[in-house]
Amino acid sequence: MSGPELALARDEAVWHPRLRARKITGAVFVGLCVCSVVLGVAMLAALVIDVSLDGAARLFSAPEFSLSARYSGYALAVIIVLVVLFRVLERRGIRIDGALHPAGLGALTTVGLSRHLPFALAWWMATTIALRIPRALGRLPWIVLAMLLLTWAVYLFLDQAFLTSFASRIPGRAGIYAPLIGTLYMMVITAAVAFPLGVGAAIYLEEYARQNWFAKMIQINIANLAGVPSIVYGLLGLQLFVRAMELDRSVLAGALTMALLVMPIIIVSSQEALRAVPPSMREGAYALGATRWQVVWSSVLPFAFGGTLTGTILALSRAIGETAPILVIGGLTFIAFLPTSPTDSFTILPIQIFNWVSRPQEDFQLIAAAGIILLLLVLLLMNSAAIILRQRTRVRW
Amino acid sequence: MTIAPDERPDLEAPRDEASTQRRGADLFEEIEGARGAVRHELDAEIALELRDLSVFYGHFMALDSVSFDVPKQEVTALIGPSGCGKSTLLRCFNRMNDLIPTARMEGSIMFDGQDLLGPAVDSVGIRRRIGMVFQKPNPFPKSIFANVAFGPKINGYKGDMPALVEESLRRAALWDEVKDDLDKSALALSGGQQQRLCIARAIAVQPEIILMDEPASALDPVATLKIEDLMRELAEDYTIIVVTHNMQQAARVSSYTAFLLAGEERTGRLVEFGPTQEIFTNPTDRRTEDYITGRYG
Repeated sequence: MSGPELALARDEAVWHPRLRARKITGAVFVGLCVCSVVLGVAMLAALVIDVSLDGAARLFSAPEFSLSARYSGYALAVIIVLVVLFRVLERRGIRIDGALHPAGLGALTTVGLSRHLPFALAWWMATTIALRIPRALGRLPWIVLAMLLLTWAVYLFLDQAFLTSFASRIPGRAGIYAPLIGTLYMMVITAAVAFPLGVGAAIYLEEYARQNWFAKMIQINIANLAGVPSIVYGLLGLQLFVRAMELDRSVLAGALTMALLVMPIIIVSSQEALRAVPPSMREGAYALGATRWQVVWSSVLPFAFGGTLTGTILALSRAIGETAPILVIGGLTFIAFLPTSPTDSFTILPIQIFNWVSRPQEDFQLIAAAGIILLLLVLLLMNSAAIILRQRTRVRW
Repeated sequence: MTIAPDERPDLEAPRDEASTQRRGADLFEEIEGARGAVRHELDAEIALELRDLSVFYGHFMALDSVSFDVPKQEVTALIGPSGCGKSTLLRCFNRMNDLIPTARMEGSIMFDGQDLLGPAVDSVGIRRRIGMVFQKPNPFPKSIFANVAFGPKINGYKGDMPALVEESLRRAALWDEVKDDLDKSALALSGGQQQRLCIARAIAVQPEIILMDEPASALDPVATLKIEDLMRELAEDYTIIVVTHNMQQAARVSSYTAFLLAGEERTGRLVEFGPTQEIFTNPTDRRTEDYITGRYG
């Protein structure tokens, strides 16, 4: 029974276990993961300190602000109630991505402002259906159909010059080139920063951290960060990146702010993906002589990767529609050039749309509606990619 | 495991005059006093030497002072009722208990001149030399080839990988069934095939000892027989330690048997260790006989 290959295989000359090197590799990567967690905690601390110091000074020292303080209290309460309500609905399995999805509501209100109510309603319904049907049926044709419809609509309403022209004060010559490229530029940097940090933090929290009160506290805080209103992140980004780090109103500052905004979402969804990998996979790898990092890297992460990537794309598709943080850190609305380096100033789609909507001319409001279609198209593409990825990478244990 | 006094087989057993005299306290002491009760002196070469091995989970003592010698290149079966610490014992041999934060081991397990529980021993290095097959087949959701090649790859194998994979699959008696679909997903295999794939995966890193935790309990009778045949064949080259609930299986495949039993406080102790034939035909301890004839748990 014992063949010559077997005798060969047992010979120590062909095995290079390099235990020390493997452990050092593991330690280095875990160190990086720890850094991610530390960054997450630091982020929370910075947020709290930044907001409470600046805000509290205004709220409590100047009596003339007391009225607005009361109103901001009401607004905060409403936001909290809404967030809690959405969370409860989500727990009960009711998806809020459809009619109440920020993109759909944004379309309704913004296009509604342009006094084309039937048009606005039609788009709202289209968004709702497009976001719901693929999820319910899990069928690719619906996504393709929705995308074809949208593309067709884009072609119907716009000439291609719209996509390749810069902003202009003449409605007929105004285009969306700069914000489109700005958005893509920013999202690429955001993804490059947020994905490794978010996944690293999730790996540390899920695979390495001991389950003590400290880990639980970090856990709860990260989950809470996912629900913090985006404008608060804008304030943090303004203080931290624009002023303290002197990045000025650059693509980089915007991307880093957005990365902070989406990181908690990526961490939470990655943790869920990691948790879904059965413990027997880890045991199987340990039993073959894998180091802890090898277990994580080669027998947990590959099977959680689909879920991780899906979560990241969904988080990025939230970031793409966020206006408030970029508005706060000063994304310009009228630029006639493209950002060529990460330190250039830039603008993004929602800000350009906001700018057009706020103009009195009816022509600009039509252009705004076109911009919204484009934004929705990008959003739909990303959500479709996430759904397809989820279907493709699903492992049945 | 709790046994009400009137159900204790020792009380009813008329064969032993002395046992009828004993009351509850004595019986309890008998179970308590089981440490190292019967230790068989082996003629065979020794693979593992257990001395006063105790395992704790936090403050709970799961195993108390287990001592016996595991013979080289034989099948050794660990039997006993549920919760008696068989799996805990098995997981000491490749330090899998290290993965449970509260687990602590005392005593010594000598393997190849070193104490497995010593501080100098690297559990990662040990697990390549002492492989493990689990109760439920747990192939990775990768191709059959990738499953077998996984262990050699992470351990820095520099030899001919396809040859090693083929040899491992041949030894696990799976080659003929899968040689044309090495690229197919391992999850497409049947339960029995998956378990043999897991055995091939364990063999691929060329361990000296293979631990099996109820390897056939999730399989049908035909697949079980195949695994049992395989165990006997593998014992020519490897030391095999198998945990089993199935008494017939222990009798069929093993050369040596260790019987463990837990007392009232659920701490497992070794009752008897010896050649399987002796344990099954002529046990020295009454409790072993009761368990084998089906009067315990």
